[in-house]
Amino acid sequence: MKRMVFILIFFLTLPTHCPALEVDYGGSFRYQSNYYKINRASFLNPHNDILKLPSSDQQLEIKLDLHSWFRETLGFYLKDRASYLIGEDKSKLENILDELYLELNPSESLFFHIGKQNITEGVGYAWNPTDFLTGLEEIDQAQDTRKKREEREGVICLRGEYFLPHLTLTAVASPRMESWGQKADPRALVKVYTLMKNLDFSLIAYAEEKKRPKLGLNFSSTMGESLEVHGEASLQKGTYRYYLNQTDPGHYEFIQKRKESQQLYPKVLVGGQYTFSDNTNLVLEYYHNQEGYSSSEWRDYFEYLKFCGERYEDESLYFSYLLMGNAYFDLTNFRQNYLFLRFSKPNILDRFEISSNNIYNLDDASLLMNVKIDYEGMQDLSVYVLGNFFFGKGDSEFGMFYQSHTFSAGVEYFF
Amino acid sequence: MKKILLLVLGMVMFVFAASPVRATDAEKIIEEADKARGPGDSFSFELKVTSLKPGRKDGISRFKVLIKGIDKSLVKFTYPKRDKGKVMLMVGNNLWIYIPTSRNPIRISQQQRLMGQVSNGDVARTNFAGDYIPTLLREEKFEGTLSYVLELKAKSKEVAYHRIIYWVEKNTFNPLKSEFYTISGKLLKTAYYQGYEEILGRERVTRLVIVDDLRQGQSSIMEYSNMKIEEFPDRIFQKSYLKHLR
Repeated sequence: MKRMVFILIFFLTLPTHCPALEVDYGGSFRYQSNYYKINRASFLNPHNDILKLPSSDQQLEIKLDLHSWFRETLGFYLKDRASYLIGEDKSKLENILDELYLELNPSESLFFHIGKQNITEGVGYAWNPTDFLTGLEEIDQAQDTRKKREEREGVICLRGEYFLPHLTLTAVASPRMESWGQKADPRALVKVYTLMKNLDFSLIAYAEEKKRPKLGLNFSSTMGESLEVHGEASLQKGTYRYYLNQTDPGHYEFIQKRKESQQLYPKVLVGGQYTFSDNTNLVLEYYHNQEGYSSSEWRDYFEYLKFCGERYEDESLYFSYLLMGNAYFDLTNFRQNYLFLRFSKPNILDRFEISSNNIYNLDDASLLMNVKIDYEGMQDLSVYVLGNFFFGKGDSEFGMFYQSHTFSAGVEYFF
Repeated sequence: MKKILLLVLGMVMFVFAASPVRATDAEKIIEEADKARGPGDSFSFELKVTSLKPGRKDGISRFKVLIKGIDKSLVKFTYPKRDKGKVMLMVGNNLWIYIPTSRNPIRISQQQRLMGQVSNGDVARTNFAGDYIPTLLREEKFEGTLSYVLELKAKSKEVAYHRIIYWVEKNTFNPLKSEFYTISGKLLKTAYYQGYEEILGRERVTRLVIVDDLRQGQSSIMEYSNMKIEEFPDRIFQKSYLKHLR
C-alpha cells in the first residue's frame, strides 16, 4: 500500500520537472452496505454450516486510474483498487493491482505493452467465451455483468499491436500462474480484427503449454438505427472442466475426465440489443456451453450434495466433500443453456435509471434476477440500491444458491 | 411531327426551368453550409453540452471531438468525472463506445443517446452532405433573412434522422435552423444555429440550440470552442485503438 502511494506521488510530481511528460488521473471512493438473506435449505451449504456466510457486511473501496505519457513514444498506466471489507466478525483489507504496464510506440502503427494488463476479449454482455486470458482473482458471478467485468483482474503479459488501415493484428504472450510464485506455463494469443462494411469481425487463436489450443471468433453489427446484433464462439477439443466421479460407494472426487477427448466442446453466444426512442435499452442473449453439466451429470452432482448433506454432521469426510462440491460450483456457467435479458431505462422522473440483469437457466428453469436503481441527480456522485433474487427449485442451479436474495445500497464519488 | 417534338422539348425545358433548383445545386448548398460547422477535412474542437429541463439543475457535459473526413469522428468524454475516459467512435454509420470499466469497446446503435436531446450523431457529425440526399424546396425569409429551404432525406436506415428540413442563409450559406423528423413524419426536435464568429477564415457556428419537440420545455445547448485544424492518422479511428487514446 505504501509503495502504491509513493508511485502515485512520484508520477503526479513528475510533470513539474519534465514538461514533455503529461499525467492524467481519476478514480472513485465507494461505500456499500450489503444484506444477505441466507438460504438455509441450500444443498451446497446446509443450515449455513459449511461456509458460515455472513448475513451482512460493509465495503469501502478506492479505485485509482493513472496514465502518464512522454511525447508520443512512451506511456505508463496504473490501475489499482483497494478495498476494506467490514464483516460481522472479521474485517479484510485487500489491494488488487489491476494494471501496471508500459506502452512503447516505436512507430505510428506499432504498439508494445509490457506489464500487468487487463485484456478482455469478446462482444457478449453476460458471457465471453473468447475471453481466453483470465486473471487470478475469483469474481462473484452473482453480481451484475458490468461489475463482473470491472472486477476481472489483469494478467502479466507482453502484447504487440499492429494497425493497418482496415486490419489490426494483436499478439500476446503471457505466463499462466495458478498462484503467485508458482512455476508458470507459457501461453500465447493471436488475434486479427477487421471492419467489413458494418460488420466487426475478430478471429482469435490461443495456445497454452500442456493444453490443447482454442479457436474463437466474434462479430457485431447494427441493423437500422436501433438494433445491434452480436455473436461469439469458441471451440476446442476436449475440456479441462472438472466432473464428479464416484470412486467407491460413498467416495468421490472431481476429475478432468475429458481432457483427452476427441470431442469438440463449443461455446456459442448470440444476442442483440434494441434501443427504443425513449432510450430504453434491451439486451437479449442465448448462451450454449457444451462444457456445462448435462442433466444426468447435474443429477449426480445434486445427489452427491444431498448424500453428503445427510452425513456431514457425523463424519468429517462428508463435510470436506461438501467443501469440495462448493469449490466446483460455477454459477451462471454450470449448465449448458442460458438466456440473458437486460433491461435499462434512464431518466425515470428525470432523476433515476433502473436496470435489471436476468439470467435464466434453460436446463432447470431457475432464475437469477438483478435489479439496480441509480440516482442520477448529482454529476460526480452515484447513489444506488440493488438487489439480487434467486428463484428455482431446491435442486436447481439458482435455487440452491447460498442466498435467496441480497440487498445493497451504496454511494460512489468520482474524482 | 417536328412541331410535336418541339412542343415536348419545350415542355421538358419548362419543367426543368420551373423546378426550384437541381439536386447538384442543393448538394452544393449543404456542402457550403457544412463548412460553417467544420473547417476542413481533419480538425478538432471542444464541446460543452448543457441540458435544460424545467425545475431541474442544468446538466453539463464536456467533450473533445476529433473529426477526419466526412465519416470518421472520435468523441472523448472529459466531464463529468464519472464519464471521464469514455470514448465514442463513429466510422460511417458504425458506432462504438469504450467505457474504461467495461474494458472493451462495444458496438452501439445510433438510437442510443449520450444525453438529453443530443444524439450521438449531433455530437460526432458536423456535416449532412455524407448522410443525406438534399432537394431544394423553396426560398423564403427566415427571421428577416432570405434563406434556402432544403429537404434532406437519409441515404440509409442507419442514420439517426429520416428527414430534415434545413434553412440555410442565401448570401452566406450559414445554417440557420433544422427540423428533424422520424420515419412516421413526427417532428422530433428543432435546432437553431447561432453565435456565428470568424474562426479559421470563415464565419462558423459556435452555439447550437436543440429544442425537444416531443417533451415541452426541454432543450440542449451545444457550445463549440477551441476549433483547430489538425492531422490525425487513420489508425486512431479504429475500434481496437480506442483503449490507446490519450
